[in-house]
Amino acid sequence: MILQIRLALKDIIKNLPSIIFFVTQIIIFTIFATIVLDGLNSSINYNKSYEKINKYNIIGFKPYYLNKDSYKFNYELISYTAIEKKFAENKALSFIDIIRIKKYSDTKVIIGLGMFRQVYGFDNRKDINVLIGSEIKDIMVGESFELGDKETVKLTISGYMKPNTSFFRNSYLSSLDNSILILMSYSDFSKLFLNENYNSMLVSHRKMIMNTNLKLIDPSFYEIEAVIEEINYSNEIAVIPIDYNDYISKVNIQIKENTSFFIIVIIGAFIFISIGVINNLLNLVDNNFTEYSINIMYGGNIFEVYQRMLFYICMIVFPSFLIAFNFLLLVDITKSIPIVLQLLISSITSIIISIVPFWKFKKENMLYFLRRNL
Amino acid sequence: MSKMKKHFIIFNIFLTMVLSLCFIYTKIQIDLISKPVYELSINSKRFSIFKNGINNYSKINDLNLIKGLYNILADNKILLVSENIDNPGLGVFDPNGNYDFSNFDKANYNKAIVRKNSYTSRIISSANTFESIGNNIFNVIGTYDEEYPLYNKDKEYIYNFFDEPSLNGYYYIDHKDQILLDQILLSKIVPLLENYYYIVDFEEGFGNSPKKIIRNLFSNSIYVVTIFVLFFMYINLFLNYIRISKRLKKTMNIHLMLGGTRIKLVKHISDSFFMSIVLGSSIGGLGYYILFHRSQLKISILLLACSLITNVFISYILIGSAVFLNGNFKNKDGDRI
Repeated sequence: MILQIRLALKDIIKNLPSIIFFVTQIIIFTIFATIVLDGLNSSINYNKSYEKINKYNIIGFKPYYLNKDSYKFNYELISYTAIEKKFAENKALSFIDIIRIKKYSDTKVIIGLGMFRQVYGFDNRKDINVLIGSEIKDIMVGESFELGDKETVKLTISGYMKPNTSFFRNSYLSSLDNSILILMSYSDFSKLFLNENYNSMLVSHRKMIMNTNLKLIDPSFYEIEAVIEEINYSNEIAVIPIDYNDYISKVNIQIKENTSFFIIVIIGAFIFISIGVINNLLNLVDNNFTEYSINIMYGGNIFEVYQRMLFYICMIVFPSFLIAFNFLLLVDITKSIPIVLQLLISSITSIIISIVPFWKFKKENMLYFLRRNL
Repeated sequence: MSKMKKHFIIFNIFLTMVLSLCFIYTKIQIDLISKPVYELSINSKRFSIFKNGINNYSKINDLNLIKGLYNILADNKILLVSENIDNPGLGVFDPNGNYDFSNFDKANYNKAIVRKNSYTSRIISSANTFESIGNNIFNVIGTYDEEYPLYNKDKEYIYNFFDEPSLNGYYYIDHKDQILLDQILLSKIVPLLENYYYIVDFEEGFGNSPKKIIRNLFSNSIYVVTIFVLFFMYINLFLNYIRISKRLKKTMNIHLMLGGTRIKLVKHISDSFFMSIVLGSSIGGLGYYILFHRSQLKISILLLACSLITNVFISYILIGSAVFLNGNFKNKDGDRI
């Protein structure tokens, strides 16, 4: 084997310029392909979430912040009758992300209100349901915790969410993989958190639920007008309704187009780089055929020739992949790729590529290459 | 030979598709750099204005600032388009009447034109008015659609900026005299805004000089990566052509021994592959057209023809060069024939 490694090193030195060229382009290609595949994954997730919400006719609200001398409004005076009516009819959804659970203070909590659970396809229950993200390792299903400000309630985590579970914040997708999701009705949330005695938390909660994240399902024009009137009355923010399905659909199309742009570039690059690397190997085999043939005639076997080719391709593939993967980790583009996985990917690729010239070698008649060539 | 031609067709299908993508992406980028929005002139400047974060908001200060801004723009007849983020309307100050029926200057106050099918178009009262988020009553003097030069899908209506000024956002100013515009912007508008605790951030101006276009294109990382990939694809194609043309080495040697020249060989062999290159490029171009004809990346026939011709030309040159490099026959004594 040592002899085969030495011979492979000899081949490397003979083809050094082309090997540097291939290593460079494999590094660039791997970095680019990883970014594109990551984008493809996001695009698929976005489309899945879009298809979920697209089953409902949703109206969202675009907020505009007004310039005021001071915040004169008082939330105690503001009535949210029209919005609360929509929640009571189960025709509204919103979320709040500023609440933390004391027991799990480091973990992000999203409280999905009203139709949030149905629109994103979690469940159809009426009680409070707690789910945890697929990447949370230190919290287990079945654990209990207390939640509430005005009143407290003991809740038990009922299950895990599927990997890549997400929800829409405005037009972008927010992952729930590292979050605790609490699904409840607006009336349950009011009981637990909306203390009628004025306090800053109440203002923050109401701002988030009513003004920033509110979505209505199948509202009539008059219901939209009533909701706008209520929000605009806060004197701090004014909203304009938007067709949320149309809004998300446009972003979805844009993401799909961007992804297809990169997929075409990456497929083209993959085909040509593969052809380039394999051609380089075939050229090497062509140039070394006489040497291989003599080697075999004097007692060597085909497996040794294969080893030499494999070592040669390993010396191209391993540095390329290892540099590319570690660059991606260094600049935080991808999540951690274990070194074992990096070596496994490099090994599998090397074995696959090295089969091509070996297959050609077996097909050729060795005596043909022992003739005197002009 | 027919197997080689099949390879040529397949390679050129993919190359033309990637090249077409590069062409259309380049065109989109050039349009962004050289064609100002809202049919503004090439002299126009774009910048953003945001509050500097210090809690020093004062309505009186803002009123003084607005008054100062109005005086500067009106005195110098400068057009302003404001995509302010705190207002659903597009604010315009148009002292020269550049846009049809807008004429948004001070004499034409509290009038607006409303985007068709917008929410605002549905709440117009019987008196042909609507109430803005700033509680101003606007008289509707018309509607507009995608064809109107001031169309912006995110804005509900167009109004005179000074009827309801809100400063945070993105701005365009325009004047026929570029030197005067630069001078006023730098010596009057920016100091005025900074004086009232606003931060002004300039964006790259419009222009169609090759230097500016190239600088902008190559500052775009996506574009640079795509160009790199395309470059590598052509290099790999060339290496592949070299390998393919090696299969013809014996035929070439016989031709060279019997009096053929390298140039004639290059021409003969390249010509025999020309139709495969054209066929592959055409299929690739057609494939791209079908795939993207309904998207933002749709390509015009002219641009498609350009990418097709470019690919045929580069491929033809590459196969010619590969044959030229291989058409080097030496006799027993090592002399080149």
